[in-house]
Amino acid sequence: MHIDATEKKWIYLTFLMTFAGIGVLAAYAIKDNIYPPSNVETIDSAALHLSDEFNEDAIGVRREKDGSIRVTMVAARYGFFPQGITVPVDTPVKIRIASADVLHGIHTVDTNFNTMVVPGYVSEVNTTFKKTGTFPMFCNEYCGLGHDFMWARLTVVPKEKFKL
Amino acid sequence: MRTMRNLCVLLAMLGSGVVSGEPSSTVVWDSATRHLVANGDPVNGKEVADPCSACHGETGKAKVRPNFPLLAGQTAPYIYKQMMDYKEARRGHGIMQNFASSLSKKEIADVAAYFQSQALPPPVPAKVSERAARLVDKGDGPRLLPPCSACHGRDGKGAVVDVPALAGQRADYFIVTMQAYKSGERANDIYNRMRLIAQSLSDDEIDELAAYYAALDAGD
Ligand code: HEC
Ligand code: HEC
Ligand SMILES: [Cu+2]
Repeated sequence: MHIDATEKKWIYLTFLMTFAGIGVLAAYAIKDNIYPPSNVETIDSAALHLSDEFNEDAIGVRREKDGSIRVTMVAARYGFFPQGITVPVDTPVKIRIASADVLHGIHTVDTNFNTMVVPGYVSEVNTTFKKTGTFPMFCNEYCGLGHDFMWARLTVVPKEKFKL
Repeated sequence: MRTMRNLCVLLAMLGSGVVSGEPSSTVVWDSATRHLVANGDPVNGKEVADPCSACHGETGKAKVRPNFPLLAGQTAPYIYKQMMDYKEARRGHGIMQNFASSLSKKEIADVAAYFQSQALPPPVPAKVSERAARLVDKGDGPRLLPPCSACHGRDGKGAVVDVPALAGQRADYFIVTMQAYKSGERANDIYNRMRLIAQSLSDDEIDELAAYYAALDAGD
């Protein structure tokens, strides 16, 4: 089969561009530690407030034995509970969040903390916050009329200022 | 002596920790409960409601005393949840706890269906403050306050699953119960949802919101 030389050039160029694109994505994903949240763990959303892990007294921030931080949160129309969390900078943080009602998401701009919160599942994100300051955590999945108001505060403090 | 006292305080704190470790409500909207409430029988509910009439009126709209809530037009799941919360002492009120304890889940579902089917009384005309209307329709972002209407409905008639109707609710009861959320005396809202909202409202705002909802004409 004859393929015109110019045509051939374009075919190679298309392949090159596609792989270059994938390469850029992969490089960023590796550099910034971006990955799809891949925790598949189920939970009964209707009885979330009675569960061991997500009951009203269990949610919040705590320190694990190995010095890392564990954050347990609930998303429910129209808020995240607790409404504000404080974590130390440059410290591994495991965030586990579940929905008490419908589909929500949670996202903090400029960090890789971004996950869907699907009713019936526990979402888990492992990250390390690199900048101190106060940042909003937004719901990024439309969940109803109060969706625009669904956000909470993330405060990242220097390690020595962090108290539980 | 001092260490003894500190120890006692510590033990008391641990003790109260156990109490606060209880969930704010044990009602779970699983399919069996939804089914039970959706199929409440208003005819039997009318009989169950007989002793209630002394305070709530036969159709749930009598104003026997100040601070008695309106039940007419209230959503059945909300009534069911409150009765269960009284029954299990998640919401405290001597009289209501006694009444709720004497009823079965089925009777509660029936009485809830009965009061839900009753028409609201005519709205109480009042001057509506702009501030209250803004909180209801727009909320207040910086205070993390969603609009009341996002949850309680544009018409104030409540929403799934157990968000109460507020339209036509008596202003005096509205204020008492909002203040009870604010102080934590009423704590049967899961994940503090109404408590957090009430805590970020001023007393004046609560009064104005009460007047707003008492005057709200939800139509039919
Ligand atoms: C002696 C008077 C009295 C009787 C009788 C009575 N109630 Fe009540 N009820 C009250 C009062 C007062 C409150 C408000 C209590 C509070 O603030 O928690 C109330 C609250 C309620 C609520 C919560 C309303 C809301 O908007 O949150 C429900 C539901 C209710 N009653 C249903 C009933 C039913 C059903 C009966 C009959 C089986 C009944 N009550 C009998 C006085 C009474
Ligand atoms: C996130 C949803 C949500 C928003 C927003 C919300 N509420 Fe509520 N509200 C609820 C739920 C759920 C309950 C019932 C909680 C319980 O079981 O005690 C409730 C209960 C109440 C009650 C008690 C009703 C009764 O009959 O006892 C009042 C009064 C009330 N809300 C007023 C307001 C006002 C005023 C606003 C706006 C400033 C507001 N709510 C915003 C969800 C919401
Ligand atoms: Cu949401």
